[in-house]
Amino acid sequence: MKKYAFNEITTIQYISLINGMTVSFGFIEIPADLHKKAGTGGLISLLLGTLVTMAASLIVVQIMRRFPNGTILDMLTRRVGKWAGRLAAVVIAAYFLFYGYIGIVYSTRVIKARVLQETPAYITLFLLLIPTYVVARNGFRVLGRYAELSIWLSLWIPFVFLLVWRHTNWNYLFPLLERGWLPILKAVPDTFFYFLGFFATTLFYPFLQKKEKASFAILTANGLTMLSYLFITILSFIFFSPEEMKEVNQPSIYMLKTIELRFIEQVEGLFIVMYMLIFSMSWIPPFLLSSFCAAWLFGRADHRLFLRVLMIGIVLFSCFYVPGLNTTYALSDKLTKVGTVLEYALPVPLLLFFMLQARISRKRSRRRRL
Amino acid sequence: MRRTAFKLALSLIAAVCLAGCYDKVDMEDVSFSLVVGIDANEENGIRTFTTIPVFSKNAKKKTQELKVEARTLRESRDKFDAFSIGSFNGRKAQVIVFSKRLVQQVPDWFRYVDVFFRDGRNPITPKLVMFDGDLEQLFRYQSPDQPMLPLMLIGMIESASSRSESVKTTLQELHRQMYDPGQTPYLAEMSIEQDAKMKGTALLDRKGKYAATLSLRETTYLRMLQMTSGPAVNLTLPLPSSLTKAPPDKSWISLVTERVRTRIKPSYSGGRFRFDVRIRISASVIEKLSHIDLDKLQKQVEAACAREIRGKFEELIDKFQASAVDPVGFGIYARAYEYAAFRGVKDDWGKAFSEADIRVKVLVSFADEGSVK
Repeated sequence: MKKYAFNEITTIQYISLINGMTVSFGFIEIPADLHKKAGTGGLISLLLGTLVTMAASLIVVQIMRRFPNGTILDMLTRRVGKWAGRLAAVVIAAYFLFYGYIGIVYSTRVIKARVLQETPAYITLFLLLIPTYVVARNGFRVLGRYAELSIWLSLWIPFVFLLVWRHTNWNYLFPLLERGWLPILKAVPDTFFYFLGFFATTLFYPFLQKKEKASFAILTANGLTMLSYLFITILSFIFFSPEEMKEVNQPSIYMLKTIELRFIEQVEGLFIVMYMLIFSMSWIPPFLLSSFCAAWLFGRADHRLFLRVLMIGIVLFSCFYVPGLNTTYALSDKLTKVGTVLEYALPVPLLLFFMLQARISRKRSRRRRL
Repeated sequence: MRRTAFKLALSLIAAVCLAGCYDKVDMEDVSFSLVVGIDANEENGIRTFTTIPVFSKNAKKKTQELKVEARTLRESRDKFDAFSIGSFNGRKAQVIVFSKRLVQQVPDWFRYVDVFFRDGRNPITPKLVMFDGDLEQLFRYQSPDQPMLPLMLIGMIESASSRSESVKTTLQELHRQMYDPGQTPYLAEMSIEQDAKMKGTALLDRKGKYAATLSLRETTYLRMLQMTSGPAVNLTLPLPSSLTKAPPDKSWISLVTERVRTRIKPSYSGGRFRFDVRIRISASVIEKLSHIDLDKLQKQVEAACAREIRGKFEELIDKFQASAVDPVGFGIYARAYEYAAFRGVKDDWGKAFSEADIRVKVLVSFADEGSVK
């Protein structure tokens, strides 16, 4: 039974999807966050966080390997019970809705603060939703293509950042262990926020063209995420003096503001606009996944109805209220907590449960044979 | 049919919304402030100046200069707005001029430029100058043989800085220097004597208060210490009479540096920081006012030049230590490699620096002796 055929995504699309979802606005925020919590030693926290994430993603892939032709929802229904599948659908739909909402509000806030100061936030948000619908209504294959395109179109980003090279000073990086090991270890769970999104594997898995490559793909995606974070974090740490780092919000954008080119001013404005491709990965896939789960819950194959409801809901809500940047940060803290439980912690007992179940049923069948 | 109608409706909505981009600005409707001047008033508040280019055929003067009293820069924008034709806007500011009085008298004056950092659309790349005198003098200054004020200021800063005779501190660099405990801020200084001219570099202390001025020549040495000197720095040095067999101060040699490599090694012992500074200069001889034979005496002349340059560096460092400022950023090295000791003096690095033991070593080697013997 191949329920999800004709909507397959290739390995590279899958990598782009996971990489895009995880990086998105983390690229703007992570240096300041790491520095606040662990000084320049935050680099070590980042590496440790990547290792934990890689382990967690492998666990997710291991779970999905046990039921290659269905999503986690189908799997829970089959193996645990109908109610478990439904509960999971509600939880995952809500989670990705929350995830995507934070992404789109954050992007709106950045545009509002840096590019379109006088345009009301809800109009910016509404305008962002139009391409979202165009991409998300077509399902996973188009989404995968969009993700791949976004990544290819964003490969210029590191080169722009190299233009700030003359302002850097490697001495700012030392001492790495300014406050000892404790803050570094403590900051590791905080890096999880910047890796959230790999859980989408539980829904993407049946659509994968080459399922045997899933583990490799997810490790590559995590590795790419780590590389982009490492790049921007090291650059910020050698660009800002340690005390200055505490004074600057969104260091990645601040750095670009120092670039002076003869033919263009305010490079950061252009950057933000072009970076929308990556920003959009923090809400387009989650909104699609959310409506996919909702459609599954009601047993419908077409997710578009739910996508429309979701978007109209967001637009109407935004007319009355668009969270401020600080509220968005507070919401992301909540998302970190929920996400850590859902993406990092829950898969472990789930995998153990499935392993146990498999063993019991194997024993049973052996006994029957005897 | 329904699909087409839907698409049409969608694009219509998009078109309507896009037309509502509230941030559209037409050039004709804006007055760009290119130079912002901040002076202290009598109550230690600020008085702001600006100059706006006038795009009009009929205008005799190509710029409009304005002066207002306001409590903050953003407030002064509203006041400027009343004078200017278009809506006034500081997003294209190229140069910010602080008066010496502001830097000297107003405590915590750096907070006045906060709006440049906080407002996401303001630039943080304007170049900074400290003006020794009344800003009124600078903004009313109209030399018949100079271009308009913004262009003149930019040109002077750029050219002096590219020859390493002054510094090009941008707003962003000042921000870094102000927040870095291991370094003190510095910015270009200018004044009007006969004509507008660069004076050198103003050194500020940890709190941003004016501390000392470096001449153009001293700035060259500062830039070499900072490793920010361009590839071609001019040095004119006297040759000692022991070598030239001529009366002293009559023989000169001019060098153009090809490469300057500076290494600073920090250490800490007995409650005192020590910095070993090693500067290797390879240079070409570009001028020689002496009959000395460079082929024969190259090593000796190189050593004599090194001694001379070393003396200049030591004088300069003595000057820093006397006014407890560290524009080179020795503290950055101390922080990176002697953090335990640095942490104790972090809040008063200037004092710790003035007590530090700094030893300079200079090596000069000639790469080229020129096209005549």
